[in-house]
Amino acid sequence: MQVSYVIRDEVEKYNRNGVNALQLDPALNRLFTAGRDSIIRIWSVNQHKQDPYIASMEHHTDWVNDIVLCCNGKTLISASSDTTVKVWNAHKGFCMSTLRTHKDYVKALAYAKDKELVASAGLDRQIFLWDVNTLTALTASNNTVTTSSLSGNKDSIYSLAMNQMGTVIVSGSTEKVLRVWDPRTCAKLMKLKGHTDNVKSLLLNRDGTQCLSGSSDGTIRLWSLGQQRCIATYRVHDEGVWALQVNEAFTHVYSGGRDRKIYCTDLRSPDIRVLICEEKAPVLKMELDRSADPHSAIWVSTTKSTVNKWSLKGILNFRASGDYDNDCSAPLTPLCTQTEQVIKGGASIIQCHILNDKRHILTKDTNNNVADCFAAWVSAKDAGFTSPDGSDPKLNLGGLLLQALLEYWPRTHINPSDDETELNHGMNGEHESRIQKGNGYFQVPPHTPVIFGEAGGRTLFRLLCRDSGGETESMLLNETVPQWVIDITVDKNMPKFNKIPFYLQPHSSSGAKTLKKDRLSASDMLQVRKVMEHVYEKIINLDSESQTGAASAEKPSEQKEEEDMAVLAEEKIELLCQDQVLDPNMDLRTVKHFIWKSGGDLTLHYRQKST
Amino acid sequence: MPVLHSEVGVVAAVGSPVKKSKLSLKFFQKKDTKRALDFSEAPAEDNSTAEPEDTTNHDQVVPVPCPSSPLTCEKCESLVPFVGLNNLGNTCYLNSILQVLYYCPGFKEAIKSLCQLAKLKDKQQEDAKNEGDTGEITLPVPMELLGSFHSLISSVEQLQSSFLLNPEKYSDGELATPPRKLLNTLRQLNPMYEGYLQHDAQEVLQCILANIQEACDNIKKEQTDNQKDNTISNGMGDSTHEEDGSSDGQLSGKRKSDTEAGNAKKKPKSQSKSKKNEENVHMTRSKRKSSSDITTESSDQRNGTEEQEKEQEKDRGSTTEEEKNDSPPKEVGKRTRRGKLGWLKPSGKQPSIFSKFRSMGRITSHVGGKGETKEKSDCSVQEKQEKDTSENESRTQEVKQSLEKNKEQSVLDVLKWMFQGQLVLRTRCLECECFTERREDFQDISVPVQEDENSSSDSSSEISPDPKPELKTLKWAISQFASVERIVGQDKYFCETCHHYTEAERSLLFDKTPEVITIHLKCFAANGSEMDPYAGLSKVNTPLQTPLKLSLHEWCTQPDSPDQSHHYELFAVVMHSGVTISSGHYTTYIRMMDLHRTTLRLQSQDEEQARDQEEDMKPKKEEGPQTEYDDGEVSFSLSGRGRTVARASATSMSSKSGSKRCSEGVGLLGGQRSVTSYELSNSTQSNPEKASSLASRAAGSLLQNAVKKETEEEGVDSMGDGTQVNFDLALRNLLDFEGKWMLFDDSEVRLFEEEDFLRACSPETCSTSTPYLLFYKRVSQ
Repeated sequence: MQVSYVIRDEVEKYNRNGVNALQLDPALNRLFTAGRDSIIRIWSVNQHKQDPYIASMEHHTDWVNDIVLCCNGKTLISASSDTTVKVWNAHKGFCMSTLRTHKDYVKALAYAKDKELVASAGLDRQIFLWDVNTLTALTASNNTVTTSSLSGNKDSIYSLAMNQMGTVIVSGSTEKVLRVWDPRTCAKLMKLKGHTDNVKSLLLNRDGTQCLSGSSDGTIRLWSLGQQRCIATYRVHDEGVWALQVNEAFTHVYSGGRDRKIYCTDLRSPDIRVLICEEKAPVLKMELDRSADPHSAIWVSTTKSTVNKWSLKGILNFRASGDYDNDCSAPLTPLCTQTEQVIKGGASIIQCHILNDKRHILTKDTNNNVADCFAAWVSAKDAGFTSPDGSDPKLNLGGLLLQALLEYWPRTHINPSDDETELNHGMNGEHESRIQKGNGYFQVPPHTPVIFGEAGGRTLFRLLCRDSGGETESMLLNETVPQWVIDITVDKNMPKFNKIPFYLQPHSSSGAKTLKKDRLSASDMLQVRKVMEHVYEKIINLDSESQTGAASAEKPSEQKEEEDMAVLAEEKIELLCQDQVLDPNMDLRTVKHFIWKSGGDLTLHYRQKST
Repeated sequence: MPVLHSEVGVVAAVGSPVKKSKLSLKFFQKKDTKRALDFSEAPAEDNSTAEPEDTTNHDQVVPVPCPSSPLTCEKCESLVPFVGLNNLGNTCYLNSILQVLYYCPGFKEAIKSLCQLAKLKDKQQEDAKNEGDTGEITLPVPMELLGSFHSLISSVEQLQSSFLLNPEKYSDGELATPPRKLLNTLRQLNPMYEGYLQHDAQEVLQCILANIQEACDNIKKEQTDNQKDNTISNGMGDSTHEEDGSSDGQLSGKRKSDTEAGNAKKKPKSQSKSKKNEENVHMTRSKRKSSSDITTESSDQRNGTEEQEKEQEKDRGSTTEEEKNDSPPKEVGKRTRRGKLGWLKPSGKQPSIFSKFRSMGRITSHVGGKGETKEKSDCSVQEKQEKDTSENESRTQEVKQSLEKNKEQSVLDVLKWMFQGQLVLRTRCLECECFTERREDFQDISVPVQEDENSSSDSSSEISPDPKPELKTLKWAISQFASVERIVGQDKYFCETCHHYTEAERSLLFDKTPEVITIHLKCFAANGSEMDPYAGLSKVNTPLQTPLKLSLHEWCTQPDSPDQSHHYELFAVVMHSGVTISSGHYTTYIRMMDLHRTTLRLQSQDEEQARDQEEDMKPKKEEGPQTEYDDGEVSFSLSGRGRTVARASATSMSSKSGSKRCSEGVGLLGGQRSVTSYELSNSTQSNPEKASSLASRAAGSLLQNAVKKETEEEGVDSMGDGTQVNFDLALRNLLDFEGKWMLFDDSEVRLFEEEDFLRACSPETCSTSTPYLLFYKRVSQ
């Protein structure tokens, strides 16, 4: 079980990463984007609006891979790499329920409008069918839903399609075959072979008699489900085809993919193809603006955070002009060179580094800006705090931060304690920050999302800091929060030191006779410096009764003397492990994991420095 | 007379029915166990082998020797103008490989030119030594290997030409030469080959190639050193004679010490080498002696062998002693050598990026210079490899011409060009479809012969149907080798492009394909227990057909590259017969190609004929007594065709390719003598031998009648024409064999029609004899 949180602005107005999916709500003129930054955003596509941003739907904790708009735009369903499927109120932008049946990334959704039926599929090879009306009726208490599953896929599913009538469902996977089911009976209907690589995009016509598939092998294939065979293969792209859109009549296919180009191809005469535009990054998804017929525009999302709208108005003229007759080998000139509308994206962090003080993180984003994320926090912090360098063993940054993150959780208020607790607990380095007391000294911004997840990364629960006081949230927290967090935040019991046993021996080069092997034990956070002091004090100087333990570190002694001792010790002796000289700043845990490596008790050797 | 008896047995086996594969298994087993106890029974084992022609007619086994059949008596017709290699005591693993190399297109020529280069270098160095007083210089061991290989090649060529010119001289004997010198060098190179244990043919191939490569590297290094020296001395302008010697001193200290060390280590080498020559003399003598013993009585023969072995032991002892004396310098040499060996060794022990494929198909890898960075030669290997990589493509076309032209550089790299290809491990993110690649050189590819439980059964169905049905199976095996692995589930791949954990696909592809591709069929299966290196493994016989043509097209990174054809043609197969992986017998099928080239060589050697023939006789004399079983046991057998026939038929009957689970780092051991262990082919043989050869000839003729096609008979007839054969005729005879398959079974060489060969290799004929190594050479489309 792990706990993590996100450092961010309260409102993130821009897509921070590629956009995996798009949905248009023609009634309200809204566009939904499903981002790799885990946020679904709602945009106004009214051209005249200055700032198209309307709202964010935040609850996922990993890439949102696909979204479908159901119930005439009232409900949005999303699939994410956090292995969940979520049901949203699309108008108000809140999450209504979360479906956790998948065991791996959920990659694709399919929707049958006539039946309000949604299917989800993912890398766990499973397809689940959901009745949208049942899903929207779910509440926190009434939260069970039955689903049928379609199994039989042998490999990870990357694409899914269902016809509008809900009579046929097709899946595409790395197995390279299309598998077809009848969602009404969950019966397997057929397998369609032909692609030579992963199938990443699928479309079905209304009555489910024809299927279009786009594959990483670079081809688009048209299949007749009645004849159970491929009736045409279109090679318009140089690389994998990742996104397809088709007109209602199933006569013209729009395709995009890794080669960044978007083509419109006439399915009846494949030679007639139009290069609509060229994007700046591989195309992930397209959405036709179906408000007019013929379609007037197409929205395109890529692995970059910007979403573009390209006009299709010229396409008729283009066709009429006969320009398409040029043979396919000649480079086509794109129909559009200018986008009609742009939804600007922001930069995403592509590199980060935790600084040694455990309070600052350096990041690098896609615009090559390097930022210090924690800067705001530092100023918010109690200025009177003592030197944060790790040598002060009395603070557990992680524990204090946990308390801060859950400070609104009522349970933590039950036993408010003024005791300053000593604790030392290692958690994911990234969470660590520090405060002096459970809460009060510094606060996490209330919008900070807190995520409880399995060690493997699967998310169990996500909430915002400030929401932990809410009724539902605190109930869920009661269910989710692991005991060790409760220990810290509710019971204020900081975890005990992790004791680590080790041996201290004179180095063979020192010539000293090997002492009787005494097993020492100390906190695994103990710095090597402290062990050196111990050696200096207890063994070299006093020479005799050695084994009072490594507890010296914990012994409060006069600060100054200790400093002197430390300096002296560092001047005179050095510690070695596996014949490697140890940095005094290292802690025993680090030594054990990165230098000692093997099992058994850690053995350290000391020797006097040769001058 | 046990000897005669056994012969009869052989003949009977030939003329008579053959058994089924299962029986043959049994016999092989029996042979293994009994050999040490009772050699006189050895011939009976021949029964286990089947004659190819007869296979269809008989399915009965004749387990007991039968009286010799009256069919015997033709001899010289049965001899084909190709030279066998005598078994020097379980050395069929070596013989089979040497034959392949000998007939490997361009290899002979490469060895010759390398040898010239080496000698040239030698001379230069000696000159330098005389001038510069640097001390004596000798060839390092890998160079010796070059030399012994070269001398083997010349004796084979000489023997062949002498046979072609005077077939009647060989009328009652066999056409074979013992690869003794080479074996000795090999033993020096790797002590593993000391003694008379059976070994894995693939390992010995790697050992030989690695050492030849090292010799090339040495030559190259010396070249560059010389160049440096030259440059330096040139730069010094009027540097005098003396300064020449000191020019070394101008080189970097490291290099200088290197050279010194090198020289130091070479020095004792020459001593040991000369000593070795003495040893050889000893051995020859002792062998002669024992051979005479043998002719008198079999028990004496045994004594003789033992004596001889003792003597050899002694000789060896002295060698090692000497090595000890020289130990400091020699040590250095050894270290280098070991590093180098590791370079080509089956990489079971070396971590390699392909280790994950080992369960599927092992790659023999060779990471250049990984071994010992201290040694300068290693560094040069690395450099060379880099250069190699960049030059490789352009060289591909040049080398053929330059081969003839003796262009030094290309000759030095010819081995890599010939046998070394490059594989790419490609990891592709399934999300963004970007891929990363890692490259590794390979010299052979190890493919499974048996389905892994996990591998999906319908994988083969995705392979487009091939006109030749048998292609499918080898294709399947290579697909297994180059199988695609998906990185999914909990352990996803972190894609640097997506900045996300994603699914990914790993595949293995051929980036550069060598001229000769060596396919190692992993004919063994693990059976659970891993306690004993062999206990858990058994040889498996599963059908895997051997196609005559192979295309690597679908596994290449650049399938349509115009400068490299990925089409290959089978030219040699090393067969392993035996039920266990720890023992058995190796034979080799080779398709004769470019015989006109041989012809030219013969003519050029015209003047040397007389001398050649004399020399030919020498090795022949030595042939008799070469029984050197470590157990001191000698089984007696005839040298004639009979055995070959029996053997060949066994192979052909039995070949069933093994099925296999994959086990790593395991080879098939083999080295038993062909059938009976003792071979006498001298014309000076005593009566029993003569009788036996008669018998065997009879068998041969029988076989011949049954099998041979007109072409061959023609060739044989003309060969029989006697003393006045002229060159053209001889060459014409030789050319009759162009495109034909020959079976090399130690000293025996037999003609196989392609269909018979295919039958021998095919899984339908069931036996324990299975293809083990396949050699394909590149053909242009």
